[in-house]
Amino acid sequence: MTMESAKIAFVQEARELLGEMENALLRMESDGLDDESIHAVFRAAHTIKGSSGLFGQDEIVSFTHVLETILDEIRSGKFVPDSSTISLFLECGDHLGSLVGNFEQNLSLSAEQAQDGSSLVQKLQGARRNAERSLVVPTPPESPVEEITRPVDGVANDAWHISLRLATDVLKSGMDPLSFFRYMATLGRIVQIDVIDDLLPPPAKMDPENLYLGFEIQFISEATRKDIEGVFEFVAEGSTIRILPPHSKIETYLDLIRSLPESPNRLGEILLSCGALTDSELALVLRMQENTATGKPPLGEMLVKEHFVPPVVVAAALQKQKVSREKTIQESRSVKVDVAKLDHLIDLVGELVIAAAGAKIAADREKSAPVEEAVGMVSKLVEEIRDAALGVRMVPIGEVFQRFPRLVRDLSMELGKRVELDIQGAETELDKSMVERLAEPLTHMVRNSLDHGMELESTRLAAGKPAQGTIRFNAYHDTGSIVIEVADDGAGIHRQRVLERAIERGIVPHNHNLSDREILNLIFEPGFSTSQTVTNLSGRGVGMDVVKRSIESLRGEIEIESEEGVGTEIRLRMPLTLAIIDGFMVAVEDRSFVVPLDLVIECADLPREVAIREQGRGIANLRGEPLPLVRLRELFHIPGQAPARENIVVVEYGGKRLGLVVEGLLGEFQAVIKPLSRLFSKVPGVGGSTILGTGEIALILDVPALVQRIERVETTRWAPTSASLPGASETKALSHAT
Amino acid sequence: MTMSTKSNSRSMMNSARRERTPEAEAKQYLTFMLGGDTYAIAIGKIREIVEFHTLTLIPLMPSFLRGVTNLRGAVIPVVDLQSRFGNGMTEIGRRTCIVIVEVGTGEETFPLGVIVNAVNEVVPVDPSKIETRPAFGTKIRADFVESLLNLGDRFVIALDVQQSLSITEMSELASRWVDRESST
Amino acid sequence: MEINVTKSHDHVVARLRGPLEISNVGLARERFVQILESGKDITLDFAGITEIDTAGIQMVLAVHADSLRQGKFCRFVHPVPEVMEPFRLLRLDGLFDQSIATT
Repeated sequence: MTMESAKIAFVQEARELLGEMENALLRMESDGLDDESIHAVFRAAHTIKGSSGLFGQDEIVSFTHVLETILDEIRSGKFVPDSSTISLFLECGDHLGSLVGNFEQNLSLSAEQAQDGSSLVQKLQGARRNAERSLVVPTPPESPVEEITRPVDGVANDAWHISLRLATDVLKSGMDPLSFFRYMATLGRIVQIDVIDDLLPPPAKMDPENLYLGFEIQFISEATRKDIEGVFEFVAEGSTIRILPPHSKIETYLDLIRSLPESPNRLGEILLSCGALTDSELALVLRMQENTATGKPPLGEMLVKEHFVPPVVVAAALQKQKVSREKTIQESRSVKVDVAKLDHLIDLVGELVIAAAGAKIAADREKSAPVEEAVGMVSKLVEEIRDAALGVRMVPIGEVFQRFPRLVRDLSMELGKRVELDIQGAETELDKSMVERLAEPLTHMVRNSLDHGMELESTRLAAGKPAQGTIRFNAYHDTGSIVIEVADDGAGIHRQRVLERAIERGIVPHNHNLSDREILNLIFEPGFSTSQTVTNLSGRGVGMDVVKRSIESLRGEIEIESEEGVGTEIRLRMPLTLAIIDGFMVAVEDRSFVVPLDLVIECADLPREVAIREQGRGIANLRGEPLPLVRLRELFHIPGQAPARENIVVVEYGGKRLGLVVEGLLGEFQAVIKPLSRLFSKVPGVGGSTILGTGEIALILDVPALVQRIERVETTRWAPTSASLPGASETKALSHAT
Repeated sequence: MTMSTKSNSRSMMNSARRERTPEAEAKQYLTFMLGGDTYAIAIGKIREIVEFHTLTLIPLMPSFLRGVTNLRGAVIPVVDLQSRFGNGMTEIGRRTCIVIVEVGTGEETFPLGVIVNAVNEVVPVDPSKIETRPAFGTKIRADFVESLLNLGDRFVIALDVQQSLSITEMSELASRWVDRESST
Repeated sequence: MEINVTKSHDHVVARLRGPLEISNVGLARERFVQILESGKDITLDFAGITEIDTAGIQMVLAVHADSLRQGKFCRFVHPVPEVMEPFRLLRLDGLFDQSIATT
């Protein structure tokens, strides 16, 4: 791993951990303290501290150290945080995030960050002092698991015995056992470490990045088993780690010997040499080993038998172990893959699809049934491979939803509203690039909902609604698309106010009769904002029009429903991927163009009587509605004469229709989108390209850009006879031409 | 002690210099024909050479942006250098090739195709035979010239790929062209 | 990481310089294998080591063990504090031959 890729991995991991930490803190805030959340927060801080040390990120190390110390006190019950302390931790998470950002961008600590850092540290220490004062009376309850009574027949040794056979790849994963030992030295006194090199191969045969050494450690400490286990937590997977409390029973040592790879006699020597066992104890262990060569009871049974812990506790612990093991199994079933590698795979598959299509064309020419059959089979498999490959890029939409609990919490606090967030369908999958690009618009929708939709508590109570409002996220798959709903039980959209505002803004003329749907859709018009007070949340100039545009640029659709006094629901319908579109292929002369199929309304012959004016523009009468036309031949300056017969492909975008005049309709096909060089970014109406079965390239038309282009010229918006009212799209989703 | 270390390191540097044989340092160039003239490009910039096949035209582009080609599934722009030099469009013949070069800087490099009339050969050129920034006149813009190569029997212009195929400059030209074309 | 080797008729002195850690043990291993192939007594001089981690320590332990297997000596000399700290932590400081004065 190069330094740079290690750094990227660290930054990514740190961000994920900070995300988990935030979630856990929010859980603590809403559901109270539980071990798991506390542990998650601690683990995040601890891991970030450890890895940032590797990179010499002293700022992060020292800050997390303070955080970790306090978290540790919480973990051990010495300090019970209140909600203000949790807020403080959230701020600490933000601060850590900004420090990680510094590292990512090679920036040094700004004066502001330094200020933030030291003020947070002071606040943390203040909170702890307060808590200490208030905690004088109630002593923390002691956990029964950690209380270990000295068994009568235990060994004489009063040190912990720790036996480590770590996973061979720990060094490669950036862990260094030395750092565990250094950390242990802060928890107690390391009496002895024996380095076991029995398995160390000669240099000529070793992989020097593997760990072959074992460690037997004698450790005197007041720390609990949990604390000691915590030291090795991150290397636990694939490792054999045995921690024997002081004065453990002989049988425990026996069990230890059984679980280690070295021979019993050799282990006996080791245990003797490191002082874990006395001569006579060792003799006893070895004798028992010989006697009971078979039938080892499971660990849990053994623990109970040895009176270490009450059965109930063991049951609980084992259950927990099972859960965490299941989780580990689940985690180890997935693999992290560089997105670039995936993209490369998708590219190759795209090529394969094209090559297969080429083979099919050749096979058809052969007119040989067996060849055609074989090629048909290959084509079918290739299509399956393509779908599977695209599936690999799918990630759960929960990746975006993750940011909302914090956002809702902070904003509702700022606005003095009580709002609960309900997330469903977080596991619904869609293309990774899509997930990334949905974050912005969704964030804006949530802000909007909190700011405009949600009422103040008093208003809600007065209206007979529950004091706490709810914002609900839902995602599910529906016929090849993903539907994302953002709903609130707020005040809903006040139609009259919307209309007044639209008139005031000159978006609609006076006395214009609009349907309910058309009024609702006005909020997607540029420059529209219904808020009476411009807040710093959503009233910042970016409105729902921006949301709508970004959704449509992702080839999605946006729909709004709202009932006054009851709430608002915005529904997004998005394609699952940006890599492939269903296209409709048209031709002009010998050139092929692809129109995104979902924007195609219908196809028709171009009536002879329609006059195409200069620059290939004109107006056709489509069932009584004027339809602006654009002739591709002229738009793209394609030389030659248009044939006598031409076709119109009617496309619609943003409620506005346009007729594309073309010379051939070639039918539907799935197009793998290939971006065009930025050399061509200014070409009007061309959004990308795709490769046909013949290996030729066809250009994909950018319908939204074409519609907007025509709109700029035909300044007939809101003319009473125009069909381009927002929402006049009832005919949408209808008859696709074939 | 200090003295001896110093003299040691100096002698090492000297010996390193002596070891530089002309062979080891010779730079490899690909020479090719363009509108009757021979040009060269340092092979470090060249990814591969492919046979010419029909290009897909991109509408409303200046003539030096000839179109795009399918290079094993990637859509790559193809530049007509002759036209870029202001000498008219390259005629497509039997020996016409597309030289795929890498342009751009640092991590951001893009493959770009260049139409040439014919590819000649790869020649090693001794550094002493490479005249950077030649003072005398060449047919093309001075900043397109990386150096002048003395190949013994003739002089050949080695092109500065970064300049002559500058994405920034060509995008700028393309966008001006689009504006002009679509306003007429 | 650099290993400068001086050979005499029955003895190899390997002077280690720079960090010896997970990122370069692979390279170091190749040098050590060559040194071990000479079949001579080995002295590993740690004076120039700036950092050593578990992978590095494991590497020199393997050299030590292999040398002993061949019936040759392998001495560790001139531990700087950066080396001494981890060796001491692992109770391996006894491997250093302190009788050789630092020159």
